[in-house]
Amino acid sequence: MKLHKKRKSLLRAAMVPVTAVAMSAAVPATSSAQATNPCAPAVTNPCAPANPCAPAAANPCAPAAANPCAPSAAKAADAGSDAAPMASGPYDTTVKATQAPYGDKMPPIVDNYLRATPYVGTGGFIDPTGIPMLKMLGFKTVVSLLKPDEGAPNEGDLVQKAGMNYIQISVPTKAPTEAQVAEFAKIVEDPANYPILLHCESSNRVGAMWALYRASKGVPNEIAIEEGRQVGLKTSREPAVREMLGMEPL
Amino acid sequence: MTRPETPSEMSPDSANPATPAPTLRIANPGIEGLPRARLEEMHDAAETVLECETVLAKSGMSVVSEVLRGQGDFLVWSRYPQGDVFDTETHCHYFYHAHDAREMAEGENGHFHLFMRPEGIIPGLEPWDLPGAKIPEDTAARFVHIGAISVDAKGRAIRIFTTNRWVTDECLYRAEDMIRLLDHFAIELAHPNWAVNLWLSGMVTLYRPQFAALLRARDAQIEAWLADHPGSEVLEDRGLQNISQWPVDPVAQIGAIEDKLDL
Repeated sequence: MKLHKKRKSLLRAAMVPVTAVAMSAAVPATSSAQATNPCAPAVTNPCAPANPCAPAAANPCAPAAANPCAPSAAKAADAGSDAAPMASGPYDTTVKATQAPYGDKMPPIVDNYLRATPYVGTGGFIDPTGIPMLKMLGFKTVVSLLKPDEGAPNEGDLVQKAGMNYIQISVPTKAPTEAQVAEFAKIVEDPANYPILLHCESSNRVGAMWALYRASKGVPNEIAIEEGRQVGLKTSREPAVREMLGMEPL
Repeated sequence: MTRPETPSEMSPDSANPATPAPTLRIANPGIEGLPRARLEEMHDAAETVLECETVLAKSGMSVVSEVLRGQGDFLVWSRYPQGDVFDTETHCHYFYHAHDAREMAEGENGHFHLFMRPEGIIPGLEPWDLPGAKIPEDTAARFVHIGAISVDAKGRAIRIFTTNRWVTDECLYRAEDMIRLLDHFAIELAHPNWAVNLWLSGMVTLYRPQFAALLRARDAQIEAWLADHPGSEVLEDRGLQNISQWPVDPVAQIGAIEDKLDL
């Protein structure tokens, strides 16, 4: 009787890059140099297997191959289809809409990753090679608070190529402006964008944006600040946020 | 004759007046229509590949570190480990090496060339007798190159690719014959490292549809080249070197397999 193996998914293991020691590149050696006469075959063929076969032909001189590292479309999660249930807001858990992954389900591709709400993941720098994985993990929209000179255009291309929406709100100063907070509020309150990944370089700007957004929704200022701190607001930006909220300085 | 002061002066074009044609990047052939048994075999191979990568990484190793271990300096063109790795029972064979960085893919540290001896596996296969073919009379001396696996410095697979006959001095067989051999690629040896050998064997099984598609694309490219270059010794033509390639995407591959297996 043949026993059937109980299979489990390997996707998570495949998505988490193992930390391996990097090896140095090969160094040229004169002993393995190609024939000096460019029109004559080399004596040995460096690609031919050792022994037990015939003498080899000339040495290959290949051009660099096309870039094989371009991200290809990853398998999309079962999220975002028109038929999927829609949450009514960032805290609505009464429907089975796709949520932002919990931290233990996230591969290490977003620095300081956290969940601000069931549908809003937050963090800092995104590893560009991990952007297709974000799509696989269910994210539908990436909101970047990076400035253009911090790589936002390139990041936007990669995000869109991976099949997600990309929205850039450049936050160069200590705190987002009122207009930027209002723009973010529209995004975060539109369930068509869920799940959202809100990120910047370290998550400090993310914390500032989140505190101001929550305060704009009527959350008491002190609590809004605490929520901001929870997702990355640091003392370097908090004074500007407090000033915008009309609060006492730190 | 004077030898160039540095190997970098020996550019591809100085050694070969004709710049080789670009390598054809094939579309992902997908896994549609594969029987469940095949999908399960591929899924098992994925598990092996991931396990080998994890175990090696936990040990501070990688597939690259282990083929280079104890081999002295890592030199361009030298083959590692020294003397290659032959499994005389499975008739499979491989080595690892690097070209000049300009001749490799972006981020590539080197690649594994994988070989098999057809007569040891499926006797009676006929070599493809195209212009430029080299067919040893002794059938035991015939070997084929089923493909190469490029890896980065951490030993992560970047791409798989095929080459023209002259590159590896193989005895070329048609793709359909070689595809029959793919199921038999296995290196069942403990040296230079068991995990490396399992990983290589697993990679061929996990990406079997892609290896097969690359071999078919290779044949099509060779025939197209012959049509475009009448009278060319196509299998010796330095204008045709790396023929077809596919960028490895383990997440997409495993995801597709698991979709079909309803995992």
